[in-house]
Amino acid sequence: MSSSRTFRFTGLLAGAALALGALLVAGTTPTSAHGQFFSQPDRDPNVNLRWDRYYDYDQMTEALQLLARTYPKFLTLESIGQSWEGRDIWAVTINNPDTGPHHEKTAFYADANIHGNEIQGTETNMYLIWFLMENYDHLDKVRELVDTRAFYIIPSMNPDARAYYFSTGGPSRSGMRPTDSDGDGRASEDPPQDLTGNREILQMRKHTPGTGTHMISPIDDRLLIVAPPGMKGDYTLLGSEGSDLDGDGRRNEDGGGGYDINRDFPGDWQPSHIQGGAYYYPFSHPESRAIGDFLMARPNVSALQSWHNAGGMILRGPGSQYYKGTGNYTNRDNRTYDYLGERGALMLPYYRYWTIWKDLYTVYGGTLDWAHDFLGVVGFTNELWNQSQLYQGFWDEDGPVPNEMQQLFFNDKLGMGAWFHEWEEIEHPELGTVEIGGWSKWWGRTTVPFMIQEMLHRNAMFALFHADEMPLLSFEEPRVERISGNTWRVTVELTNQRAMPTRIEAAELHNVGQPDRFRISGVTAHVGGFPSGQLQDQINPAGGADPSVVEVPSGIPGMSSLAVTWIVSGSGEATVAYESDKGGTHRTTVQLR
Amino acid sequence: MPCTLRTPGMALAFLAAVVFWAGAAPAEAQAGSDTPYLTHDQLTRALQDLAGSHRNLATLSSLARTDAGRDVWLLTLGNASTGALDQKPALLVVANLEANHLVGSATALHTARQLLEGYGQDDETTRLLDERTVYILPRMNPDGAELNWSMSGYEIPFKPHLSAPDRGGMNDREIGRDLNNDGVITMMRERHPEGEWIADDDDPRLMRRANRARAERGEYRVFLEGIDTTMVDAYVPLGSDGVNLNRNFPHEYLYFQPHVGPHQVSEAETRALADFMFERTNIAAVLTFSPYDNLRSPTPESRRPPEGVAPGPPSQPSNVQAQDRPYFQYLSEQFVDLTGLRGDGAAGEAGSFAQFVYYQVGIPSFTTPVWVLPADAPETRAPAGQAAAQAAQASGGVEGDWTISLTVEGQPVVATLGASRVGDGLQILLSSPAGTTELTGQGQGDQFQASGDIEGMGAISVTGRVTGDEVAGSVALGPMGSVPFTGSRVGGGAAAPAPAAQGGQPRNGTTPEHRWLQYFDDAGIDGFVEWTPATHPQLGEVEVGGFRPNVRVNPPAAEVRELAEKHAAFAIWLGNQTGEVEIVETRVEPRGEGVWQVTATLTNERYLPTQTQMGGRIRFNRPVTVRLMPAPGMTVLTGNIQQQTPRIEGMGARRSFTWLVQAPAGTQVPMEVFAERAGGLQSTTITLR
Repeated sequence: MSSSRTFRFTGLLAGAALALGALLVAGTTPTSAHGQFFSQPDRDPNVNLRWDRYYDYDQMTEALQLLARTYPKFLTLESIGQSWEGRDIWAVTINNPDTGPHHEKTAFYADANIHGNEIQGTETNMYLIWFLMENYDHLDKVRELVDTRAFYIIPSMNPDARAYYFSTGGPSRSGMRPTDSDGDGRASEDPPQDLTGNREILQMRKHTPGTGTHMISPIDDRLLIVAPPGMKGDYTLLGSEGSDLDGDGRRNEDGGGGYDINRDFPGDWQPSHIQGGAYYYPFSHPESRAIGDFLMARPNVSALQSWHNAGGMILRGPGSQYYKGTGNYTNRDNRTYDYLGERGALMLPYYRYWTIWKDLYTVYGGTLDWAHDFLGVVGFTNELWNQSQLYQGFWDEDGPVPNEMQQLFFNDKLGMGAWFHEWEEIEHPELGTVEIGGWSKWWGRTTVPFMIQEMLHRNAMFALFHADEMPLLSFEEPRVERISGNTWRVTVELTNQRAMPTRIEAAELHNVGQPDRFRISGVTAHVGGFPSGQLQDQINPAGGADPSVVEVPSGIPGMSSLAVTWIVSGSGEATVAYESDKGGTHRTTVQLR
Repeated sequence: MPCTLRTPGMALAFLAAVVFWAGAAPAEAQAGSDTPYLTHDQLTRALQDLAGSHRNLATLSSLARTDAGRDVWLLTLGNASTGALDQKPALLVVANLEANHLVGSATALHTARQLLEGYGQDDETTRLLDERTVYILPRMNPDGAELNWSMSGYEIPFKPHLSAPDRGGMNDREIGRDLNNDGVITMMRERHPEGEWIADDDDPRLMRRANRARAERGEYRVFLEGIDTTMVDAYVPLGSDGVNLNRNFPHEYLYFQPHVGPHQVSEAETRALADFMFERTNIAAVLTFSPYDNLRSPTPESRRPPEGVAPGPPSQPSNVQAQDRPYFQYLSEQFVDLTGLRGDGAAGEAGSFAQFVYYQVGIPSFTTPVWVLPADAPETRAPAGQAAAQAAQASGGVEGDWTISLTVEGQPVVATLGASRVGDGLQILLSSPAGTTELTGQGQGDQFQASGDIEGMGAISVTGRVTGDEVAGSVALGPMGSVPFTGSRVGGGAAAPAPAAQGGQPRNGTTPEHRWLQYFDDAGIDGFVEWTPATHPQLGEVEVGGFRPNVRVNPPAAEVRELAEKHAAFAIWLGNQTGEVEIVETRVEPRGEGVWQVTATLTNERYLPTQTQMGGRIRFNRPVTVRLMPAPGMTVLTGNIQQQTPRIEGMGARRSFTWLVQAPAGTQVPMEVFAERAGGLQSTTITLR
C-alpha cells in the first residue's frame, strides 16, 4: 500500500513538471487577479442552492431552470428525449459563445443516475454546473475551462426511476418500463408496495413464536439474528414490504423494470441470457437511445464521466475479460487512463481506481466500453460514497462486533436515529399481523446529508481535472527555409499541452471518426510528411494522394509535440491547419521569406 | 506492402470490393407488366390489390417508415373469425433485407398470393389460415431495393446510408462508373508490366492470378469499372457505409467492419423488425429469404463463429442447441423434399436476421437464397454426407484466388490472395498494385496460415478460413498489427482440383465462376459482358467486361414462378408445424368434506415443441402457465394457484397439473392457460362435482 502511494506521488510530480514545462513552452504564466473563492463564508452565491440535500425530479428541473435563467449566456437547457413514462431527459450545455460555438471545442460529457436508485450523481452534475458558473468571475482556472472547453451535462438519465425512488423508494436500478418478470403473461402486476405510507419500501417480519428462523438479538432489540442450531426462532422474515397483488401466492415477484439501462450500449453488447439486465438489443430503451443519439452527434466529446453509487471507486473499462482477447485496452490508451485515474484516487479518499471486470465484475454493453470503442472517448464511472467515509477509520469489518451493530452505532450517535425505522405492527391483507421496519433508503447507498457537499466537491473537481487534461493544442513558431527561388521547406510543430491525446488508439484501430490531419494551403505542396533523420532534415512522406494533406491517424499524444514538414512552391504566405475531431481545428500563418 | 497502398490503383481495387459482392439488376428488373421484380410502387399496388380482394383473410399495414419515407409493408394473413390473429401461433416470412435480393420479395409476394388463392381449395392452406397467422414482410429494404432501378447498372446489397458516421473518411466514395456506356458496372483490365492477372486457360473470359511457381507471367491489372475518386473530385450519393440490413443484427455482429451499420440494430427497418419479433409474442417460426442458407443442409455440428467475430464469453452460443438440432435436421429434409434444392448451404451469417431470431429471440429460424447456381443444387439426392464432401471438394479447399478487402491505417485496401499447394506446404501470393509478397505455410481442411517477410517492413503473416466461395482471416504486419479481411473467390484457380462430376455431366472449369458461365451459355442467358476496349481517363487504354450485375443473385424472370411455388409449399408446411397448446382434459375427484383434487391436462399435437431449447434460455420467453382463478368460497389448499412448465413437446406429448382445493360442491372454478407463441391465452371453467 505505502509503496503504491509513493509511486503515485512520484508520477504526480513528474506530471506536474511536464505540465509546467508545457506552460512555459506555450509562453503563458498562471496569474490570479481576483483570488475570491466561492466558499468564502462572507459571500452568498448568486444561485443559492443547498448542497446538504437531494433533489427529486421536479426539484432538479426547477434548479436547472433557475441556473439557466441566471446564467443565460453560458447555459443552454434542453430536453434530449423523453423517458418511458414521458419525462424530459434534460441536458445542459456549458459554453462561452464569445470564444466560439460549443461543437468546435473539445468537450467534456457527464451523465448520472442511469441506475434509478443511484441518485447522488444528479446532484454532482448540478454542483459541477453551479461551481463553474459561480466561480467564472473569481477563479482563473474556472474561466479558462469555461472559455476553452464545452461541457455537456445530463443530470439524470433515468428520471422515471428517480421519481419512483423519491416517491416510493426501494431498490430500482432499472427504468420503469413494464416487464413480465414472473412469466405469467401480465406485466408488472405485483410490485413491492409502501404499505405504511412513509415513502419507503422496508422489510417485513412476522412474530411466529417457536416456529420462526430468527430471534431478537440480545445486544440490540432492533436487530434479528439467525436462531442458533437446536433453538427455535420467534420471527420469520418475509422480504420486502408488499402484498400478493396478482393472487398467485407470491409477493413482489413482478415489479416494474428488472432491466439495466447500463447494459444497453452497443460496445461488447450481449443478450440477456449472457448479460443479466440486457434488453432486446443495444439502445432498446428511450433513455439510452437519447444518450446514444446525443453523443454520436457530438464527435468533439473527448472525455466522459458517469456518476453511480456506491462503494468508493473510479472505474474504467474494459468490462470483460474477453475484450479483444486481452481483457485490456492498448498500452498507449492505458497510460492515459492511469494518469487520470491514479490522480483521481488521491483526490478522492477511500476511492479505488479499478478496472471493471478485473476488480469488480464483468459488464457487457456498459457505457464505458461503448464510449471507448465507438466514440474514442476516455471515460470513468465513479461509484460515489462508501460508509468508510462516515466511519473515518473506525470501521472494523473483521472485528467481533457485527456490521449492523456498528451501523446502528453511527445511526444513533451521528444521525440521532434518522436512518433506521423502528419495527411497526400493521395488519397485512394476506399475512395477518406483521411488523415493518429496517434501514431507510437514505442509508447505505446514499451519502449522509452532512457529508454531501464534500462528496460533490471532490468528485466535481475530479471531473474538472479530467476536463482540464483534455487535449489543448497550440502551434509553435513555424520554421521556413528557402531551398531555391520560390521553393521552400516549411516545418510547423503543434504542441498538445495536456495529458490526453487528440485521438485514442482504439479510435485509430476502429476507424472511428476522421483521422487528424495537417493541411497546408496557399502554396503548391510537392511532398509532405514527418521530419526524420538525426538532424530532422529528411522527410518521411505521409503517403497520401494529396501532398498538401498529412494524415495523423494517431493524433497528437498527451504532453508532446508533433512536427510536419512540406516542400512547397509559392510566395507570400501559406496557411497551415490542424483538423482534429477531438482536438478542434487550429490554424497558423506561415510567411514565406 | 499493405502500408503504402494509397495509390490510384488501390482505391480502384477497393471500389471493386464494394461491388464485388454480386454485380446490377437483371434486364428483367426493368419495369414491365409480367415481371416478378417490382418497384416499390408496383409492389405497393400489388399488395393493396391482394389485400383488397381478400378482405376476410388479409390486412396490409406499415411496419416502419424508411429514411426516404417509404413504407415497409406488413401483410397479415389469417381467418380472424376463428380466433384473434395476434393470439394464434404465427409464421413470419421476411424477404429482401439485401437490397438486390429481389427474388426474395417476388417469392414472398407469391407465397401470399398462393395462400390467399389456395384458401378453400387446398386443405393444408385452408388449415393454415384457419388455425394460424402468417405475417409476410416482402420487402424489408425498400430504399435499397429501389436502387435496382435508379442505379440499375450496379449490384448493391445495401441500404443507402446518408447520415452514417464516417469511419476513416470512407463515405461518399464513388462505387464505380460506367466507362463503356453499356449501362452496367462490370470489371476492367489493363495490360500492365506489374499486372498479376492472366486470362484463364479453360475459359479465357475469366481472369485469374498468374502463378509464378507454375512459370506463369502476369499480364493484366484488374479493377472494378470506375475511376479513382481519391484523385478526382467525384461524388455519387451512396457511401461505402451503406448498411446491409442483414448484417445489422446483434448476434455475432461484426464490430467496425464495413456495411454493418454504425451499431447493432441502428436502422429504422431493423429496429422495427427486432421489436416485432419480441412484441408479437405469437410468432412461432421464421422463414427468411436471403443469400444465407441453413435449409439445404442444416448447420454443421462443429460450427464456429465466422471470422472477424469478436471473442465473446464462453456462454455465448455459436451452434444450434442439442435438443433443437434433430428438429432442424428433420425440417431441412422436408425442405429438400418439397423444393428439390440440394447441396451445401454453408454461408457467412454474422449479424444476420436469421441468426438473431434463433440465438437471441429463441425461435426456430430458417433461411434460403430461393435460387442458387443450378449446377450446385442438383435435384438428385447424394448419399448422406456426400453432398457436403462434394461441395467442399468443388470449392477447392483452401486453394484458389480471392479478392480480399481490408482497412490499413484507415484506408480501404483491396488485394488479391492466391493460394496453391507446393509439395506438402502452401504458397500464398498476396498482391496489390503496390507489389506482391510471397508467403509460405500450411493448409489444413478449410483453414490456412502462412508467413514471410517484406523488405524494410519485417515479418508478415496471414491466416484465414475458406467457406464456400468466401474467405475471411487476418493479415499481421509488424507496425500495423493484425488486420481482419474478408473476400470472395475470383477467377479460376489453376491448381484447384477438378470438381466431382455431378449429375453425370463433366463440366469445364473449376470454380463457381466457370460454372456460372457454363450455366449462362447453356441457358442462353446474357450474363457476361465480353471484354471490349475503352479509354479510361486515368489509366488510358483498358478493356471492360465481366459478369453482369445481379445475374448471379436473381434468376431470369421466367423461372421465378416455379421456384416461388416450391418455396410457398414449404412455407405452408412449416406454418402448420409450430406448437399449439390444447386443453385435452380437466378432471375433478371428490375427496370428501368439500375437498377436491383438480387435474388439468395439456397437449401439443403439432410437430414442433412449444419452445426451443434456445428459447428457454431467453428471459423474454415465458413458460406455459396454468392458473386457477379465484372463485367464491374456494381455497387452494396446496397454495400453488399458478403452475408453470418450460415447454410441451410435440406429437401429442402431454403435461398434467394438479391442485387440491376446498369449496362447496357445484362451485365454478375459472382456469386460464397461457402459452406464449403456442396459442396465447385460453380460458375454461371447471365445475366441482
